[in-house]
Amino acid sequence: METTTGITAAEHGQPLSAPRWPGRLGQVLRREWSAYFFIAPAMLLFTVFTIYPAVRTIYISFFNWKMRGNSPFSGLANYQQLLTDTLFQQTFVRTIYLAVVITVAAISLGFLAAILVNDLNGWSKYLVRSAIFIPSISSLIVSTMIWKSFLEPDGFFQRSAAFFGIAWQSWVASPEQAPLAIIVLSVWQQVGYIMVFFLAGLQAIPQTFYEAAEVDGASPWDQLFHITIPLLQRTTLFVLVVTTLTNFKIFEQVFALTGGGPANSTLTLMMYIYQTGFRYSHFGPASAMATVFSVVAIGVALLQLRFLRARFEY
Amino acid sequence: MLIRKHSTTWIIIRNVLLLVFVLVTLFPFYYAVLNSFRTIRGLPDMSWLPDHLTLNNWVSAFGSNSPVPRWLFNSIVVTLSITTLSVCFDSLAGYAFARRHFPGRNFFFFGIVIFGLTVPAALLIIPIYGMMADAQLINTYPALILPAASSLGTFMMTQAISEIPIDLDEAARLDGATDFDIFWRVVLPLIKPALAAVFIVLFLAHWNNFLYPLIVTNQENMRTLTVGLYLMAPSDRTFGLPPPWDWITVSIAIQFIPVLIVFLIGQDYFTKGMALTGMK
Repeated sequence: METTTGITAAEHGQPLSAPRWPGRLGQVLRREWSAYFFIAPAMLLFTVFTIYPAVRTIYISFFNWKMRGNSPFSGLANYQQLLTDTLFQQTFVRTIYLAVVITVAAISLGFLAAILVNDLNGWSKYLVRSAIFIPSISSLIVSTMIWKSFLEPDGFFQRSAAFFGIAWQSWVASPEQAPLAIIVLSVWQQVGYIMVFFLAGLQAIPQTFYEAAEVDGASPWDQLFHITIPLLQRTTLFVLVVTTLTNFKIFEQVFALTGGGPANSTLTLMMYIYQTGFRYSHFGPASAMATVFSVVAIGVALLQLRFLRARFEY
Repeated sequence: MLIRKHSTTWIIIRNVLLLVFVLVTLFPFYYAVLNSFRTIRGLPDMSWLPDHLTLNNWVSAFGSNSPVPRWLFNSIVVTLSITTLSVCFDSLAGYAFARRHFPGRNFFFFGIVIFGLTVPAALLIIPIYGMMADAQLINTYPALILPAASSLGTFMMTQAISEIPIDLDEAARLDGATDFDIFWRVVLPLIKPALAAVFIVLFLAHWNNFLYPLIVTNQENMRTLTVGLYLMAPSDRTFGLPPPWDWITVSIAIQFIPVLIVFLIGQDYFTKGMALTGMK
């Protein structure tokens, strides 16, 4: 008997793991066609708001593109321009440098926080963990605005320093110190998030390992270096990938704290792409940059995820 | 140096370090929320103690010539709509990916989830702006709400639905349930905690979103809180005029406090959500 969805109950009853081969494609489709309706809304939105724009950006990157009017085809000109754009190259190097420094510092502190919090018990563990996690869920713009008010000339930091008799100049106004402000703010924002992953990793280590080590007379340091750190390798690699990528795409902190300045000292790729596209309306070059940037970001993400899987699938 | 676990030295070091962590983490938020309740004498010259308390900033920020109430309204409308839609669409797609063996399943999963999770916003913003401008949707709610499907949400729903035993689907199917019945009456009731987790994760992401609302709006009355807040801050755009500190401090507080409340209420779900991303 046909149901309202057009599928017979007998077909429903087939085990889903039944072998399928090309000759049975029609039969599979008869059984599974409604799945397309389930993915349709998400797929439609993804096509319109992710896949189409991504393809379109790559397309635009081959044109001297304008929002209105004629956009002449320009071949690889936008890409050639990147090769001679020293600011782009400096920005690329600076972005990687910032990403590495922030990631290493945030992971070190996140690991330390996890070790410390893991030693607490009950409600104190819950409270401290929540407190340290809060910057990770707060809006980056709000956090940056608060830090900006601290860092400004005559801001909280300068006044506090003056109280203790220390000379303090505004970090945000100096090309040497502005990157440091971005680094400190980003590390502060990411430590809690990283800590949570390490905490989960720590809880997955069987307590018996430590008990056995204790019986054998291993010191806490031995336990840290020979049990905890080796067994957290997988967590560490995962966190490394995620954090590096996040920091490669760093934007809001730079946008709201320094706008890329002073003297481009905090300009990151994402910020440069935004400026080129939205401030100067150079859509072609901005799209070429976005394409290069995305190839690197997606490439690293896929490579490292594959590496992670290859290494740990046992 | 050898510090024994549970020795007094270790406990002192641990507690001091944790105190530093917690103070550094929480102080900026404490200070920001406190400032919204203080007389503004130029933000910088304030101590960290609660002095000069007043409600004037809040009265002013919710007064008739302030843009803050409109931004708050926009943020609430946009965040709730987009999050609700996204949870619906993501769970529908998650059901198909977790349970159905339709031709092209891996292709679509790659398109929605893997590509969506890895593609940087940089690759999307220029054409999205162009599309919205062509469709005359700049400064409208549809522009802010339409991109309501999330790779992360779909991935989490797929994970959550994979975890429930398939026997239940099979049993319902033998009883003559349609595919939608199975989704609605069997699967959804079993993944309520995951739905809450996805809702909370996406709610926070959309409430905090900045770049997208920035590019699809350019009128003051269509800004969301994060964007409006950013635009009020002292910068080269404000031409040296004194920034409206009363509105800024209150905006920071009303942007942050809901985040804090949602997180504290839903913390267990949030942690569950992180676990669902398979990243533990």
